Amino acid sequence: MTNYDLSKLDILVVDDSSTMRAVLNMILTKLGATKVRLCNDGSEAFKEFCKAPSDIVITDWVMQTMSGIELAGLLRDPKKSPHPCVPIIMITSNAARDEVMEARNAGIDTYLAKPVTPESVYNCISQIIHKNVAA
Amino acid sequence: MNAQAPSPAHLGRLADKVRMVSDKQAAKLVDAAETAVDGLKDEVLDTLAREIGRMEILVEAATNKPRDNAAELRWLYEILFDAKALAGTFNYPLISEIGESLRRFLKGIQIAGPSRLAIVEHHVHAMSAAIRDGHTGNDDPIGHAILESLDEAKKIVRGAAALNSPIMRLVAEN
Repeated sequence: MTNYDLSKLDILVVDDSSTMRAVLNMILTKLGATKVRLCNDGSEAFKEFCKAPSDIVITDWVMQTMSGIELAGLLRDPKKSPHPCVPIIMITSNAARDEVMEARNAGIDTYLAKPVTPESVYNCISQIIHKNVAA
Repeated sequence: MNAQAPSPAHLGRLADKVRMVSDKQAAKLVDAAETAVDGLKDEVLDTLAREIGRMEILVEAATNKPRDNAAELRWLYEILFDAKALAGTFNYPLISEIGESLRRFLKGIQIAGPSRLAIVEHHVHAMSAAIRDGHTGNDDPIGHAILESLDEAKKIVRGAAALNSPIMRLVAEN
C-alpha cells in the first residue's frame, strides 16, 4: 500500500459523540494532520463545509440531527455543495448488505469500521488519497 | 449556502496537497498515534464507568414507569452506542460485546415492561461488574460465561414472544 503525508490536508470530522470527536482528532493529529475541523452533526458540518470545503470528510453514520447518509447527500448535491466530489469516509458499525447499498447510493467512498484504530484510520485515508491521485 | 460547481482546483486538490512517505515513516506515525490512544485507556475506563452509571440511573427511571419509558430507553440507547464504540476503540472487548448485545436487544423497542427491563438491567450490571472486577477482555471463561448467560436470557424473552399464546406474548412484551 502507498503511504501519504497528511500534513497539508484539511479534514472535516463529523461525530455527535464528543469523546469520539476528541479521539479522532487526537489520532489524526498524531498521524500528521495539521488541520482537523470537528463538527457534532451533519447540519453544522455542511455549513462548515460550505464556508471552506475540506479535502476529506470523515463522518459517523448515526447522528441525532442529521445522519451521515443525509450529510453525504448534501455534500454530493452539485446545486448545494461547493465540492461535490469530496471524498467521504463513513464511520460505521452497520455492515448489513442493504445498508452498504444505501451508503453507496449516497456517494460514500469508503467505510471506516468501528472500532476505529490509528492503523485503520491511516490506511483508509491513504487508500482514498491513492484512488484520487491515481485517477 | 455557498453553492457552486466543482472547479478543477477542487478536483485536483488532493493530488496537489499530498506526497508519498516511506513505510517506515508511516509506521512511525501509526505507532505514535497508538501510543497516544493507549495513554488514554485509564481515562477512558473512568469515562465508561461514568456512562454505565448513567445507564443504571436510566434503567431505574424506566423501571419506575414501565408503560411510559420511551424517552429513557432512547437516551440509554444513545449512551450505550457511544460507550460501545469507545470500549471497542480502546480495546475493552468484553464491554464492547456486552454493549453490542444490548444494542441489538434494544433496537426497535419503544417501551419496555419488566421482562425486557430485566434483560437491559442484566446487561448494564454485567458491564459495570466487568469494569469493577477488571474482566474487560472477552477471552477468559468469565467473559464467555457473561456473554452466554445474557444470550440465554434474551432467547427466553424472545422465545416467549414467538409463542402463539397471548399470555406468553404479554410476558415478552412486558
